[in-house]
Amino acid sequence: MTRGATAKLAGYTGLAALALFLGLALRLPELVAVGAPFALVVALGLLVERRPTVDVTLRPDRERILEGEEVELELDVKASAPTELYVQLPRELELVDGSNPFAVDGDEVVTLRVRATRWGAYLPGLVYVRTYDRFRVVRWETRLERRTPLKVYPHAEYLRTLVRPLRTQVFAGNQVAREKGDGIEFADLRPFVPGDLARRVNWRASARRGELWVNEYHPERNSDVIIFVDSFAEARRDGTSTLDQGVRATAALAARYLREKDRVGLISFGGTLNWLLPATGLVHLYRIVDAVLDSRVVLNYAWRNLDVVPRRTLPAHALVLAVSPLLDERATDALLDLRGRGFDLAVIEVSPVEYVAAGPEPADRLAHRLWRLKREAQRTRYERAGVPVAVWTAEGSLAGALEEVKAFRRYARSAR
Amino acid sequence: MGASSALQADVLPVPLAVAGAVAVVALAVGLAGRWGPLVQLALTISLVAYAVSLLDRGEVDQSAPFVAAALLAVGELAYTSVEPPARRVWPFSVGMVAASAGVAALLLGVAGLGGGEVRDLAIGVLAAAAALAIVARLAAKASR
Repeated sequence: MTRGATAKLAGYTGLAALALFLGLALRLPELVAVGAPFALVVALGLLVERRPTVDVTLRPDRERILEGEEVELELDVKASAPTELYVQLPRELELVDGSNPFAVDGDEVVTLRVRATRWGAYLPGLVYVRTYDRFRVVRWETRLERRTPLKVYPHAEYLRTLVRPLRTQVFAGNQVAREKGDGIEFADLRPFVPGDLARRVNWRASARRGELWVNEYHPERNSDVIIFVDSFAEARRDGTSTLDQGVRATAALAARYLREKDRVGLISFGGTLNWLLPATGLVHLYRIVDAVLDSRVVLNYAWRNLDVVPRRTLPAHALVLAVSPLLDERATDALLDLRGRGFDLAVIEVSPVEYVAAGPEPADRLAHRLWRLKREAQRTRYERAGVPVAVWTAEGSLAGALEEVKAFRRYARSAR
Repeated sequence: MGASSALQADVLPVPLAVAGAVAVVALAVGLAGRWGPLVQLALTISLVAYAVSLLDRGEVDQSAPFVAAALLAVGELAYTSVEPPARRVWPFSVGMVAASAGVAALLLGVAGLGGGEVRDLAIGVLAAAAALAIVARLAAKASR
């Protein structure tokens, strides 16, 4: 603990010294009488003060909560003297019950109730401790690192259906493959060849044609889905941002695809690059959500392209679902590069238009209009490359955006 | 205190009243802005004004213990406002102010008994030097 003098110590010492000096110089005993109590307070304060011992244990009642939920932080304080404490909380954790800073007199258990206003991974628990001697002339201060991880998960968006990849993988899953093989979904009929199972014979078709015909089936396979989160830039307004929406979409999509037994991978492409190799299972879902909780917009001017992404992160025939506000040229170019390499790509554009209001001046309005036209042109660029771009606004639903992607893909397939 | 010093003073009543007003303003600004040095300045001006008001008086001021207690009360309240505790506590006890007034009265009584002899002056000088030394020693220890 750091020991320091209070303003009172300096003030009283100076006052006592001045009173005694003037008393001597002017031969006025009254001044000695006036200065003596101040000297006495200082002397007593310094004589009775002892190095205090303070220990704090911080326990949140839960380690994982949803955005908007409340959590109780229980602080078990053991102090040998009256102590003042302040728990530094991240801006996103709002105090709803209890006072901070607070004071304890000896051993006490104090509970602070906080509400998480935004998703993220937080480490609350930096505790500032200050204690005084009885006369408040000496101050003891320290900072206790009692950080405890608290993960705030984003609200899941409701999704009824998913965008299906054009190609499936080789493992069993819930998606009907385009290929023919062992499955239960009827695909086609073909003449019997030696080696075919008798139970595959379609007796009606065989009776009509006068020879043996067998059914062919589509197997149920899984697919690889890569969620591409663009974290180069964000548009922010009133505490919410396009990245917030993007993270919510990522969590919802990952949960839904993993429930369908698909393998899901993650690429957070921005100032810092994070990735997760495609995998399946509940543990992987937590891994993905934990990874996106660390998503931050990190300002970076370095030019980045797909060469920095590990090769195994983008398996062949994977569906790449990009969640992007399409604000940074590097991300848009990388996505077009992906399409050029033959990846099945769909873009969910988290619209930044609502976050950016046009200014009052005519020139501002013109600039805003030009910016919107430029975005339209960019969208057309994607559509010309065969990439569906669904605009997801803050008021709209993610399910609606996914339906838009599916409609585009249906149209694109029938036109070929 | 500034006003009482000006009223009781035989010399320089107007400058003492001005000094009292300056002390009040400095205290008010110091409390509003939580600046400890301004509080100290206000207390110092009050003390000096009181010292000036005692010049040419010729007899020991019997109200000195009350002045000491009042000044201490002002100091305690002011410094509690400048560096407020997290939990609302009474900044000083009645016993503390009474004790300070008692100490001041005792010192005053001892000084009054002396009658201004050279021997008492020497004792006073030694006592003041010892008190200052003790305070300085303790203050230096506190700042380490």
